[in-house]
Amino acid sequence: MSNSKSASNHYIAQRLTAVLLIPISIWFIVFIFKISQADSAMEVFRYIKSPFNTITAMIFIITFLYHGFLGIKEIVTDYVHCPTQKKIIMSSLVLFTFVSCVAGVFSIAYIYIKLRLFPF
Amino acid sequence: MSNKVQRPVSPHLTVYKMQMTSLLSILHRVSGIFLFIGLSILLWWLIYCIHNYGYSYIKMIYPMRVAIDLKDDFIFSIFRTCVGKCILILWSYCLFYHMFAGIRHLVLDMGFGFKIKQAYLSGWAVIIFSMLVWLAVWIALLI
Repeated sequence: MSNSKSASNHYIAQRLTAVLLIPISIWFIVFIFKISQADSAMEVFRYIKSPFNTITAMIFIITFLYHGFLGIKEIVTDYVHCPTQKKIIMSSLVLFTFVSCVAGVFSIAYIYIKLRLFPF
Repeated sequence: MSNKVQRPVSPHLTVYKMQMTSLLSILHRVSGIFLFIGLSILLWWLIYCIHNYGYSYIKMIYPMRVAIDLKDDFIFSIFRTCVGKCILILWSYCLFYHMFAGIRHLVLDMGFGFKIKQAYLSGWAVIIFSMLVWLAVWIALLI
């Protein structure tokens, strides 16, 4: 199922997303801090309104989901030895990651466009 | 007959004696799983918020300005309790630990720091720096 080429691709992709996640995580900590200070949902949306935050949030969602997917895939191949269990875990993980990624990115795009069209 | 014997397989967690460096590597994976679960919960909460409040926002009469109170929000109300705050603070250590241990792993991947003394030194550096940054961030947030 996994040949040497997909293994080296996995290795490179994991390292690339890891390097990308270092600066974005720092942004994420600041972002979460700002959100935790907010009292109303409108204040939360105000942070999402800036294009920089929108794009960084999208990149963060895609990168952390992909990095987490690769990491959990590695753990599953190391510790789950029953092929049926492995297939079930891996396919549910693929489904969860894909749905979360699409839902997250589209939700942020949705609120960004909405706030641009109807500013408050 | 021989295929019924349960032999230990590759990452021998229970076979080898636990050392500081192997413990760091295992904790890197464990913190990664916790991070993935926590960030997924945060992401789905954000999606829920956007669709809940976003929908009520479009129903509002423009340009009326209404602040929707987050105190009624389920996850926000969890985070405002003492236990919720403690869980959030402990969970956030996973992020700092995973970040610093990940940087150490990247350096190891580039081929540096394989001597036993260096490996232990970088391991302690990861623990101390992640603790310091974690405490600094939370002290800055709470003051």
